Parts: sequence; structure tokens; C-alpha cells
Amino acid sequence: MTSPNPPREVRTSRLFPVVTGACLLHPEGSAAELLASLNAARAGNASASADRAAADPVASLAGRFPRGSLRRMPIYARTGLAAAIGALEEAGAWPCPEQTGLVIGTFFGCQKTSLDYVDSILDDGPRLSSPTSFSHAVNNMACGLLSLMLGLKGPCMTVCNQELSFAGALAAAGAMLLTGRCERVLCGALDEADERLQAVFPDIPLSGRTAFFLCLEAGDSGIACDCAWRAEGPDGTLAVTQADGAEAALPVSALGGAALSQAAGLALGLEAVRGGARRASVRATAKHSGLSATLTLQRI
Amino acid sequence: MPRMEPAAITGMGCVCALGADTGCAARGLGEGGRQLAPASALSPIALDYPFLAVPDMVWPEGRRTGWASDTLHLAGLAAREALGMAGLADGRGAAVLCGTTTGTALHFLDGYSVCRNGGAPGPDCQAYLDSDPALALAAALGADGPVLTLSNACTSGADAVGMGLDMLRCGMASRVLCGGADAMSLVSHTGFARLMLADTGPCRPFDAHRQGLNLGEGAAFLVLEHPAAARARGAEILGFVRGFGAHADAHHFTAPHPEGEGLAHSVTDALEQAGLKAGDLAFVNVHGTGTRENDRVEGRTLSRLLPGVPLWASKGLTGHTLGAAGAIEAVFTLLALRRGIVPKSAGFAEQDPDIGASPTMTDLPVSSPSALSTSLGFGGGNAALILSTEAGHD
Repeated sequence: MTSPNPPREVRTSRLFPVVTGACLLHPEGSAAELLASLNAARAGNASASADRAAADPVASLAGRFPRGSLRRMPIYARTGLAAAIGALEEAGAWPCPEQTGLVIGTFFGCQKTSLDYVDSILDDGPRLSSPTSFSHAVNNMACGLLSLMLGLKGPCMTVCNQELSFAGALAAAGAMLLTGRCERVLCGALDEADERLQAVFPDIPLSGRTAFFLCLEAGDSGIACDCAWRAEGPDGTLAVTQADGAEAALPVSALGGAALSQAAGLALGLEAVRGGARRASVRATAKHSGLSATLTLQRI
Repeated sequence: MPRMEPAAITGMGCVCALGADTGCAARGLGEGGRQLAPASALSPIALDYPFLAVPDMVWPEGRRTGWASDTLHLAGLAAREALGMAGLADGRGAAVLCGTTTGTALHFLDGYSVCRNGGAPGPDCQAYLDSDPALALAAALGADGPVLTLSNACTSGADAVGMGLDMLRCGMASRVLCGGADAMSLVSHTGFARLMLADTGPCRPFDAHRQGLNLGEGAAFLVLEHPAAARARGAEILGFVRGFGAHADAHHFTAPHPEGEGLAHSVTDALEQAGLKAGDLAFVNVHGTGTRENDRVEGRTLSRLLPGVPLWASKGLTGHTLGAAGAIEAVFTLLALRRGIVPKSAGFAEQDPDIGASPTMTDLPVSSPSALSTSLGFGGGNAALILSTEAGHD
């Protein structure tokens, strides 16, 4: 779907991470509601499409991989895989070149497999705990499985900076692109909710399972995506390069939550744990990192 | 990859089973002794696999006390030592990158157990939220650059140093505090035992009779700066990070590629960035966990790529410190280069014909200013760092 308001070209000699594809998979709420909030935040820069709404991510993967190869893959990772493929397809980069980099931001990793393993220790004792669960209880599980399924042999990194995980992932992806380490990076946010963790952290409104992936390439025109998040005590400033090439350091504490998109919060499937500053910075990062690209929404 | 700018190392800090600071580590590498802690020191229910613990003096108030996680406590010790060595009072102007595994994993077994039974979550649950290593370090040290906690299993520490190098190179940061940290976790300890990857005795990296790893704990950090900027402020340059390679195998989730494909690409990238050839390397500090498959693939790959370059396996002295390992071994590599001696490899006695290579059995003189450190991890990740006492080019 073509944007009715094409983004302005960046006129600068500096290279930027440029968003060439995006895909959001979100479990709750109507696609229309998501679109409305995204459109409001994006200040009319682009439109989003709901052309894949209501598709099942697992179903969308069928036929792409050998029969049975997805069977043991946790739904958490399958959701990320579906979103990654969506971003690659929108970028015209599917099948994916093997030297593509992969960076995933996640707060908790896969809650289900992690807590399954902890439960197996508590329920069965260490001697009978499940070794299979342990191997999938590492926070980079999705990154490893996506690289395996997509055949990615570039750098694969997992960033765990709580609500800033996606912002951190963008920073890592930007560094990979701008040093020439990779020509293309898949950069995603992936989290899920498990009721067992909700009991541990009742103040964190966890919900659903959400994946948000961008396909990024280095370029000197297009939609700029600056990646640096700079800490400044408990709050912070977000360094962004706007679409006209101008750089700005936005004080996170002044951004507020209301004026900014819920996109990153949706992408992470999470709300901030403590205070609005982190939430705002994640949202601001997402807003300035390519949500003016045509966005593909898919309800799961 | 093309040859690229090096980063100057102006500070380093390390806490591990060899001691609570870099000086202790340097002495320990020379002496080569190791003392394993019994599993019961970790938990009364821990399976009977020993581990290599940091000295008790590291925990003046005991483990799992206070608001911070044990991993963050270790990270703080190493990071402050690195900043102090660099002549920096705090982290102003610096990015912070920390590799970890247990530091971001849902390993709060005690608090979760209580919560499962209807009680209030225990203090280790809150410590988890308050102790994201890079975020908490940045806040504590007043660092105001980009902040990244990397959780890439056993390559995390090396990746944090490598991404710190990339951030300097692309102008995202002008100074970087980067490293890794992991404290012992009953969850990881149990997991490696259940995967039958742990040894019930002292580990024997690369040895024909190796039976698995010993887990360890620790942290290490480096301060990286542009060489010109370091010189301009009068800082002593301890060495350089000259190359970094990171490639996935895309072969199997827990087993390395049989031909070490991702490792080979990582080493090649790192050498190219540094403008070095295989013969320029004084030694390789290998990942060398003591597991059958890691050591077989790593040994064969490095022997093929870097014939004649001495291999040094140091995990016999520290155990496998998971997310901290790559950073600790980067510090060890630089310490060995500066000391002019490649230490002997603790635990090795007999060559495995399936590997066809032996790590150092005695101390060797360092033959050139540069060395390689390698890491491999769950998920198929590989990382390679080139450290040097010479810049090569500025």
C-alpha cells in the first residue's frame, strides 16, 4: 500500500539507518484501533495498512519452512519469525540474504519457557528438571531460532534494557549498519505475557504477545532512524535525527506520554514499570525510527 | 571487512575466581592454581557439580543482600576499577554496554517460589527489576551515553566489547565502558548439569578426557576511547581493541557448526579490521569450555585457520562465567600481552586426537603484540576480538 503522504527525503551526506520494511503483530484490540493511535502519533506522515489483519502468524508461516520444523518452536519465537518475514517482504528482501544482521530487543525474553524451567526445578527438583526447557530459557532464544530458520549468518544480538530494549536494539542495529558490518539489519521488539510473571509483578500491566520488526539499511535518503538513547539520570534525552536531517536531543521527561505514539508500547506489549520517562523514550524512539514507513499490521 | 580504526583501552577491571581485581587476576594467571567450591556452597539443593566462586571478600554482606542483584554487584566492582584505572571519576561522557545471561534472566527462584504459593514476591524479584546491568550501572556511574545490556548467551561479554568498538567507530559514543558480568545462579547451574555439559571434577578444556565445564562467576570491563582523545587527556594507553567479528552459525540452536563456519567468519572479520594476518597473532585465548563439542569444533577450526598459533585455554582457572566470559578473557588476553607470557592452560594434560591441537602446557613467551580471543554461545553465536599492545594505525 502506498503512503498518501510520502516521507520527505533526507538531504545530507551522512548515512542513516533507513527503514525499508516494517511489520507489527499484536494480539489485542482491533487493527483499526491500533491504526488510529498510530496515525494520530505519526502526524500524517504516512498511512498504515491493515491488509493482513486477523491472519494467524503460525498459519502465515506454513509452507515457508519444511513441514514439522516449526513444531518445537515456542509461539513467542514463531511470532517474531512471522513479523521478521513481514518486514523483509515489505522491504523486498525475502528470501533474506544470509549476511543480514539481527537484533531483538526484549524485556523478559520468553517468559513461558523461562518459567517452565524454573517450575520444573521447583516441582520436580533439580535432578529431574527438564534440560530441554533450560536450553530454551535463555533470553536470546528467539534470536537464535530466527537466525536458524531464516539462515542468517551475520551478527545476531539480543538487547535486554527493560522498556528501553527496542531503543537499545535500534542503537545496536545502527552501529552495525554505520560501521559497514552489515548492509541490512532486521531489528525487532518481542515480548509476551505469562500469567505466572503477572503474579510476580502485579504492577506491570503485561498483556499478550507482540512482535514489531523493522528492516533497516544504511542510506543517505529516505526515512532516517537515529538510534542513540542517552541516559541522563533517571530520565534522559533521546537523540533523534528527524526526516529533514536536523538533529535534536529531546528531553524524555518533557515528552510526556500522551502526545506520542503507543507504537513502541504496543510493540513491546508492555507498559513502563516505573515512571513515564522510559515509556516516553521508547515511544519516541519508535516514532522517530520509521513509523512513517508503511506499516503492516497483523492481528494474532 | 576493511581495515578500521582501533580503540584505545585506558582502563580495565576484573573480578573472578582469581581475585577481586585485575592485579589479583594477573598474579593468578601466573600462578595457575584453582580451587573449586562445592555445589553446596551455592545451594543445599544444587546438583553435585563444583564451581569456581569469586573470593568471599567480594561479598562483605553476603550474597543476595541489598537492593542490587549479585550480577550487578560484580559488574559495579569491575566497572569502578576500570574507570579508576582510566583516571575517570565517573561515567560522564561514556556509553555503557554490559553482556550478561543471568543478569537479565528470570532466575529469581526464591521469590518466585513464594509467589507461586500465594505469598508476596521475594526481594530477589525486585532486585531483578532494579538491576538491569547496563541501565543500573549507567545510573550509578553517571554515564550519559547510549546504554546497552546484551544477552547473547556465552558471547555476551565479547559482543559488548565489540559493539562498544563499533559505537566508537561510527560516532555514536566518544567513550565506552564495556564488558560483561554474571553471578552464579542455581538455575543455570542446574541447567548445565541436566544438559550433561558439566564436569563433576575440575574441568579439562581441550583434554582428551574432558567431561564438561565448571561454571564460574565474575565480571570485567574495559574503558575504550579514541586513541587521539586518550592521548589528549594524558591517559595511559594500556592496549587496543583492533578488530571484532560476530557471525551466527544458523546451524543448530545448542551445537556449534561442525566446521566452525560462524567462528571462522568472525575470526576473518576481526583480522581484516585489524589489518593482521594469522601469522601476526601471538596466541589465541580460546573459548575452551571443556565440553566435548565446543572444544572439538573450536580446536579444529582455529588449527585450520591459524596454523601454528598457540592456543591458551583459561577457563580452567575461572570456570565458564557465561555472559562475563568474553570480557574477562579480553582482559586476560591484554594482561598476557603486557606481561609477555602466554600462560599454561589449567586442566589440560593429553591431546585429543579428534581435535589434533594442544593448548599451552607451559608458559610461552609472547612473540608479537597482538592476540585473538574467541567466544561461542547457545543460539549459534560466535565472536572474535583482536587485542594488541600496538595500535597498528591511528
